[in-house]
Amino acid sequence: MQVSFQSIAQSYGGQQLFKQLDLTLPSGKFFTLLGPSGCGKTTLLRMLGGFVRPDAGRILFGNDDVTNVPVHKRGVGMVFQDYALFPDRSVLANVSYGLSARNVGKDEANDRALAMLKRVDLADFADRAPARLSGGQRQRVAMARALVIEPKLLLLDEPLSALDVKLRVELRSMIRELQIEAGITTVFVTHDQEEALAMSDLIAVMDRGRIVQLGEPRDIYTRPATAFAADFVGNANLIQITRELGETADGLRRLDTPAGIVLTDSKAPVQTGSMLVVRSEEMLLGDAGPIEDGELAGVVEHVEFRGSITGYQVRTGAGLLRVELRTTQHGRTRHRGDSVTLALPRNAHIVQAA
Amino acid sequence: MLGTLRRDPAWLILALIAIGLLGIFLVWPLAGMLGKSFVGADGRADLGGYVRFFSDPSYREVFFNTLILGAAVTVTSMLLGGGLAFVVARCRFPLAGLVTALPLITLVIPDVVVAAAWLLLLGKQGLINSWLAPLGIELPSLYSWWGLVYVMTLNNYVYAFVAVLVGLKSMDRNLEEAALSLGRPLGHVLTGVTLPLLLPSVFAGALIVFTHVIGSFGVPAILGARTPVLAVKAYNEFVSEMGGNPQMQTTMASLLVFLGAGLLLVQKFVVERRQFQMESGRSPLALEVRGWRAMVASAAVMLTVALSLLPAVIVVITAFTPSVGPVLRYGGFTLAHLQYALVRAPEPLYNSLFLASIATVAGVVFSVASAYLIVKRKSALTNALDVLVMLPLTIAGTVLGIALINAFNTGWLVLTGTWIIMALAYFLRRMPTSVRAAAGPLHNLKDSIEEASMSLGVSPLRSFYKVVLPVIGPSVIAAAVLMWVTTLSELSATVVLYFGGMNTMPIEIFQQIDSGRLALACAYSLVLLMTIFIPLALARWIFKLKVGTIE
Repeated sequence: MQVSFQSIAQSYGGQQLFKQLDLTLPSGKFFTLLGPSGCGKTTLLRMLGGFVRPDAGRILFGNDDVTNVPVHKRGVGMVFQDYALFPDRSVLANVSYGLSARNVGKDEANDRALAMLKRVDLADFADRAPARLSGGQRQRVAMARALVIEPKLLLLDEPLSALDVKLRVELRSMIRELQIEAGITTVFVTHDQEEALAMSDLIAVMDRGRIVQLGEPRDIYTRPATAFAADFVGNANLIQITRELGETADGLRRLDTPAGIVLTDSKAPVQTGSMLVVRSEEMLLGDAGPIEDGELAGVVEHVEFRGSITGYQVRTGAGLLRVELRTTQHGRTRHRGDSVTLALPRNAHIVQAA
Repeated sequence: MLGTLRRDPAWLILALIAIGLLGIFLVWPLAGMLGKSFVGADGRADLGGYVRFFSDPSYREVFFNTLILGAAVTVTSMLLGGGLAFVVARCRFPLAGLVTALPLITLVIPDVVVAAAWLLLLGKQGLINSWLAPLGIELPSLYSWWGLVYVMTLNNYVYAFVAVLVGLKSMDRNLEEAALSLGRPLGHVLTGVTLPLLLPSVFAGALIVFTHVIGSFGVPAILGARTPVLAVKAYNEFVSEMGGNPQMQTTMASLLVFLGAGLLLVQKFVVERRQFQMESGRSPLALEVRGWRAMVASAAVMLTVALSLLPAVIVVITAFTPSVGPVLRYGGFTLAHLQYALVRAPEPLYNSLFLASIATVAGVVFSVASAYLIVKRKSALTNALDVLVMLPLTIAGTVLGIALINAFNTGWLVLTGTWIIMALAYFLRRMPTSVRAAAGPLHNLKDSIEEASMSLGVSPLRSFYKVVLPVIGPSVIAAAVLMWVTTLSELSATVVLYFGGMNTMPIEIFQQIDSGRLALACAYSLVLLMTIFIPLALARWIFKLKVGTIE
């Protein structure tokens, strides 16, 4: 089912959050709203659930206007950050809760709930109280409870953020598998860019009530639309461009920055406030020496060994740049205080400040 | 403005009903009474009542008596209750655990029973005086300032004790440890770090005690013949209404309302603003006390608990003691008084049980819905409900009674002289405590549980019933028990509202004391104690509910 927001406006305590927001989520896709806290992603999700009524605008499920349809008649499944399992009911009773509300007979409800529990590998825990489950298990029960009612739309409100890193990685592939299998339109809210990139068909990057960029994970990462998107997704280095200096013989644009001259094949126009996006894993570290175009001189200020990756912070004329190198691939280890040369990629992207 | 009420019209309607009910049955009578105090005998608006009150020395004295009594009992209660709390929270010694019984004792023994018991013990013909008489010694009269302050302190210090103890327990251990680690001696830490953090609790406790004292009726009515206070004087003026002055009666009641409202403002804008949020829940470790210090501490705790429990013992003994007129023959045994209270004239018992049941059922339904609206549906509308719901806490029972009787004796709704007005008064007086009791667990309940239920296809009201109510159920039952027992002991509103044939037990006790039949008063007191104690004991020890515990 396709879901759309039409000209949504919403304010909180005199502060306008959304002004004229339009957004369409294609049917059957895993759609992620990604942004920092306060950007409005949760409010959008709660509007779909019916928990928040927009001040103005419409919400459509397919062609039906559901703006004024109350929560319990929307037929959406929702998974909450804090699991929201009913503490006084068993796991099975939690999962069959929505079915009995739909007048499904008790036996059938139990059968379907049990089948769903099997699907999330929790059939053996059917009689347990939620309090006696681990965090990951609870979230799987919550998933089963939301899916068993065969909702037209599945809403996931930061379902993984209360879990530890290892579980989070495990559970996200399970959620994605369940979603693909059910072919259900899913909206996922998160502030974790890695989660968003790993799970989504489509990502909407949000900032202060606006959708900054809408696209597939790969595009969002490689071609961020604004400095904000570049910074929020993938923690890019942003280098201020002061002016354009023309082209090299092989057709690359020469751009002046406070740290030196850089080269890029990006076609985006350069205006005041334009910045060059350089991912930390795209740079190479070399010995200090004469600087050519496309290279920056710097001094290592901080070294962090993280196992497979070694992270550096290098002080340059454009500020502190983060560099990440695969431990097994880069040659000599640099130390704090070493002078180095940074080689920049030729395909770095130009963005405008938001 | 409406928050999530806009989303769920069913709750919006309930909120409007709740506000409407309190508007009709609480705000309107109070406003009417305040209005009347500004209307002279000629029907024109004037300040005559207030002018006369403050220019006539006999009225002025009443006002200052009330303030002095309030201040005196507050100071003594804070010293006794606060000191006890500090010792118990910070030191470990034998028998310290006895104090956990104090809130329960206070709940079980109504004020009027306490007054009766101390009369029996320390009154002119009391036990102690009869022992001292052969020695030619006589205790100072209990019908005096010291008698009032003494009995009222014993009635109120537990509120101070609980407030300070809760404050001490919520103190963060790390704060003191941090101060100690920075090189401060323990004495400095206690006065420089702990005390300032404790002040809000101290003030909160003091305010509760002060409000109780200036509004209380039973004890000053029994012991305060020579020291009239506002609540009693307003009642007397009310009883002699035919000869008395309706403007003076409403003026005095209004003054009590202004006092209460003033205190509420102090509470809201001075005390609550200073409330600190503690980071960790680990309270400071108690210090092990040994030797003579431990003996002194144990003795102090035992003495306090004994003094609090003594009225019950006296009442039980006296209820079975033969009497000839007002003279009691201690050492004898009779069932006559109890037989009178239970068989010959049991109406007060039935009336009390009837009214308490009605008020409790209505009160609990109302309280649960209101608490839910206030905690879970925050909006301008439910904030107004919050203020209205807490309003009765600041209003003396006598005042509420006068306001209700004035509002509902003529006009479109006549309730004066019916049991409904009594049940209504009980409902209004005890409902705030119930709302607080129900609100507690709601604060801890996550909104998402209810939202999950609604998203699974269950309507808002049914979701409340299916997933919210089971979680807060135990607290609701505890609130019901609390409402029941406190309603049974209500005197100050009842004394204004009761009518022939509708005597309640506290009224009967009050009247028996007044006519000098102390043995009968004790028999009714014993019956009252049992009706309060049995449900409390069941709730607490059989159903393991938190009633009369220190939270």
